[in-house]
Amino acid sequence: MTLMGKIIKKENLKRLFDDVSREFKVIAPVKKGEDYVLSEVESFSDVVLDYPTTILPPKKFLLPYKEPIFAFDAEGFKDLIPDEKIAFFGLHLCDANAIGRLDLVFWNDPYYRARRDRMLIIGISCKPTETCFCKSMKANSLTNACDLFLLAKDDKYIGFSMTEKGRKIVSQLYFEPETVNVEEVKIEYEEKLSLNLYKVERKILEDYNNPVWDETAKKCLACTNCTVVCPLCYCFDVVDETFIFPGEGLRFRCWDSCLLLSFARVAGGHNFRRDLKARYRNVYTHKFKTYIDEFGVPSCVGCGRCIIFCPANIDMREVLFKLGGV
Amino acid sequence: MRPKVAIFDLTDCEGCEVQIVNSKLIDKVLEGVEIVHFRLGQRVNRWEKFDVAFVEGAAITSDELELVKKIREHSKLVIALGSCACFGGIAAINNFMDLDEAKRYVYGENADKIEVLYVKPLPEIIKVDFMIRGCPITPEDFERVVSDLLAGRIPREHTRPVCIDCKSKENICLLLKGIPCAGPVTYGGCGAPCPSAGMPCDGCRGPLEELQMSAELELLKKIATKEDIVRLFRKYAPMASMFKEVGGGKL
Repeated sequence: MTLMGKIIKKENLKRLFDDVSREFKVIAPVKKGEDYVLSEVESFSDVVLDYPTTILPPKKFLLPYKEPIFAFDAEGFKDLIPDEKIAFFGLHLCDANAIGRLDLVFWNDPYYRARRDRMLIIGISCKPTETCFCKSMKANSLTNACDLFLLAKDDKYIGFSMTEKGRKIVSQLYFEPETVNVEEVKIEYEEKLSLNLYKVERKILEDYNNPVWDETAKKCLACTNCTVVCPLCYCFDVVDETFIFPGEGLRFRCWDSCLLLSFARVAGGHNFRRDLKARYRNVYTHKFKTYIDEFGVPSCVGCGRCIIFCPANIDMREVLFKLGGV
Repeated sequence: MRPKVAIFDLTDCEGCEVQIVNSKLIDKVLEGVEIVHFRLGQRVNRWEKFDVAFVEGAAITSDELELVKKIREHSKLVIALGSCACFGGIAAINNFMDLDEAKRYVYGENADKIEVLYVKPLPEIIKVDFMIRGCPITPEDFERVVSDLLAGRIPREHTRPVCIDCKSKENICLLLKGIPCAGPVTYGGCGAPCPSAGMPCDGCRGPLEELQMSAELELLKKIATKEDIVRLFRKYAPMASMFKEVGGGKL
């Protein structure tokens, strides 16, 4: 498939931003202390387009930390379907593709879908760092998870539209009229540790009792940092809250983690994954085996956040590497 | 008839009781329950059969020990309010010292006139039906427990570590910055106010149901002295199972 791109000069990005912000609540990378976060921005001057990665991935806007999903009282319940229109401005390919992979799971979820249908995603080129492994996770190519992707080229960007929403944008006058044709858009770089996904998938079940699970679980704090920063970890809990009087209340969906003891506990007190070792392994079997079986891709885009933010210095790549995923 | 509620305090700072009054839903609480005993909050108090008694503070005198037993006899449910009641709190620092020496240090020549016992957290004295953790508790936790009880539900524990609250606020892990933090082994639900302000978690909500203490200690030993680690776990929840060992110097 040939992709048709249109050039936009750097100085015209502000016009693109202003255009988008007229219709959408714009979410873009901004600086927070020494780091970067995705946050609502009103002015283009706050946007940082050259950033390594953000602390939390875009999922914090798609599946919020604690989200009311319906209100109830004695009469019945009222769905709280969100109606916000969000535009991501400047997502890296890994994060955009992570949304594409979340779609596979949540497409029929009314709350997720309401946000997703109204959403615009504008991706941007990145400079891979030593914790990146999107190539190994096959998340380094442009897909239609992006409505529009801005590929940095010298002192300009080439805009590739992947959806109808994107095509409308590149027809605006701040894009140059002539087109640039390419076969594909891919982030290419030398990975620090390259993994063979096919072998990983096979070895995960074969190596069910590999000592690497014991060794790593011993180091693991079960603090959930890795699952919280993961753009694809979506384990959640559902809680009902009433406000003093039981007659009315809200049902919430909030973040949880399969690394926690309480996660796999069921009524009667039985727990399917009593040991941290079993829970730790479950993160991997889900991401690199069952998810691939079900959807054809891993539940990982190699963004490297779990490596950067692990207090115990556990490197997911090394664990997979020890399973023979070379 | 509205459920009868009592709020008592032992040796404490009354901070958790103030948090009850701070609740934005306090008007609704007062509509929903009858507060029959609340020394800090109202002038006229009476002893009768309570449906629920909230007890803040640590018992450090024999009078307080008697009071705790009397409260238990009068109450269908007893709820420990805050770290002192749940885990001994600040006052339990005595438990790691020679009591006479500690008394002399604080009270000087009057030491012999003052009665001080080793601190026992509430669950070691009487049966406690539920704990509201934290130093101080949050008004939201109090509201949640009252709401659950009025709805006839068993109050839910927040079973997740402080880290899940902390990272949801996009803080960079203090442990990665070389600052000893008890977040990974401590009950969350607090919203991680301390790490969000750059202060480490001191474990005020007590140890998680299942905690990875050996992994935590291995990390802490790389960035802190033994003394610092002991102090960290001795601070707010020193009588809680796993914290007691580390606070006692076993690491």
